[in-house]
Amino acid sequence: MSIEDRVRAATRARTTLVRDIRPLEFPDELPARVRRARRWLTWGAPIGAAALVTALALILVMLRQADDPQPGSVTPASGASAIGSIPRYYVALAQTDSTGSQLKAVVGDDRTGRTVAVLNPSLSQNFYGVTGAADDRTFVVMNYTGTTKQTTWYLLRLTPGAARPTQLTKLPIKPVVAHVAGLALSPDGRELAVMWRTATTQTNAVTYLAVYSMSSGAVLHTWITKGDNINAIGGGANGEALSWVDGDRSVDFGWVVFSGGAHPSSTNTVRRIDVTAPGSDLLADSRVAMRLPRTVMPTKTTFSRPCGREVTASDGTVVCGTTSFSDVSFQEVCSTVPPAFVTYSGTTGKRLKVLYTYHGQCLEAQATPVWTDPAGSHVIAFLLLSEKGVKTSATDKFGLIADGHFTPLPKLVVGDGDAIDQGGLAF
Amino acid sequence: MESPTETLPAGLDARRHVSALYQAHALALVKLAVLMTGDQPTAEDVVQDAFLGLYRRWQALHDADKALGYLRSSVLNGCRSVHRVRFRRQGITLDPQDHADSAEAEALLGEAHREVLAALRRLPSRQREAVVLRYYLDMTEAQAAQAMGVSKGTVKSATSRGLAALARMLKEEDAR
Repeated sequence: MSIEDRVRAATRARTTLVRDIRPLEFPDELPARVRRARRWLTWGAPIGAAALVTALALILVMLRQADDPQPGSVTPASGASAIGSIPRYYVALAQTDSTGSQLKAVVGDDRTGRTVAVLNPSLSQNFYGVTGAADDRTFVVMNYTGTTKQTTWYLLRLTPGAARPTQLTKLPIKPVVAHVAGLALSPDGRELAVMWRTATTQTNAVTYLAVYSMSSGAVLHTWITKGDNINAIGGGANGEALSWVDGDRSVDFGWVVFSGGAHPSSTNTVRRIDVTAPGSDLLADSRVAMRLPRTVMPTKTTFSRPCGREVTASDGTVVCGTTSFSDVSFQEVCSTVPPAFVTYSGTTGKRLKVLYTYHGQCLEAQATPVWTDPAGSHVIAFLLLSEKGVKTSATDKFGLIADGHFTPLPKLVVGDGDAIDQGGLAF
Repeated sequence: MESPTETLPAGLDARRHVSALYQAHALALVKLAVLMTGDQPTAEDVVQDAFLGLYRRWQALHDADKALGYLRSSVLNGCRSVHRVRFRRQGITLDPQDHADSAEAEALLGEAHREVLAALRRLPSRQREAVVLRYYLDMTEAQAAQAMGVSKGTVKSATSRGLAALARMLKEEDAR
């Protein structure tokens, strides 16, 4: 074989091993042309500096001569101060374009409304889950590759203000071929909990909960339960609302318990598992932390599911959002069953506090908590209201719930409600 | 009559165009960069930087057809920079994950391929570029010259010297 042929064969063999690449990370804005800026810099910098010094001197003189400042300009509104207590940066999944089925990851700033970066999946990839640590800088983005049907995970680190504000690195975690139902990065960013389900038929599902080391990708602990029809493909809420509690010692996860018989019914529960304790049986080694309250019918035609969506605070408090609906078209329901955000004890299951109740009219409402502080007192919430007089679209409202108030977050730019349902928003 | 030239839209459309280019060409460019740098994470960094460079200069680009050529040249420049940095940092431990990825990939190759790739990496940058462009991408001398930003004669001599060096290194390897 000639040397040219050897080069051809070796280079092609090596490049066939490159199958997946990470998505493109765009910076926020199209910067100005660098060369022009540099030309300005040579003579503009001294003039600019002189102007700055003059302006500063003028401002100081004006401040000394000014009267006392007006009260309104000094004391921030309570809503504004509460907004300071929530994470500034978030990652939201959104469709790549109006016709595509791919989801991109958008890194945003909820204080300014600025897009920090956009991560675009390559042709065969798709994002379908995201989770964040407590430092507001560390996230994990989950990626599905259509050609291999594998789910992989990327570490996303933010450095706001840097020339390259995001750094995306593939985590050394062994990919899985399964339906991933839950994903949660521990608040300290050291461990990643993933719940997934494999099934080839409606009855042979196996559910796994694994805790991985973020630094090495090694599996630190795995729990398994073999399912029957309760773990049907795509069925139930098992694994949803995966979250870390008790100082990163335990993981909570949603689990649906079905009872058969003449009148089959289901109960939604939140189970808690101690990740530091031995064991490998997902159900035997975990306990029910809370049974979610059942749907109530205040009237013959209106319904309220008190815990349609939930998120667990790191102290174990469960924050629930209600779902209000009617089986009669265009019936006003919110006056009868107003949507609300309520906390429950993750230890006793008892109702603790109503954080906020929506007092308005609507035909249907879905209250979704998407983030909570460690004590369950400040909650970023999504209120989906179908309102009277609005023929086709619903009103989507993101806001911060604190002290009984709902403060809208207009600068939290999140597009698609479906992406949120699929774990597509993280703070 | 002058043939029409596509005038590229500015602003947000740059993101859409560059995304489309990334989807179409990024994998091939990463493969090229892997051959130049030897490991995939570095290759992906180089390709990301090339696309971000294109994005930043999008308004200055007046011909969409030139985008791929620009990207290929940027990737080759980026790979050269990687080698310069590595040369300067000899003795500093690199990220072990990079090596792990690279080692895992090359373990899947046969001994003969590994030897060729190792020899290829020992070539000077310009010779390696010429050989890879000519025999991996099957470019003509003119195309390789355009991608490398040099004359056809330079490509011809770099290819010839590169192949001779490779043959010598592989012969030495076989003799061991």
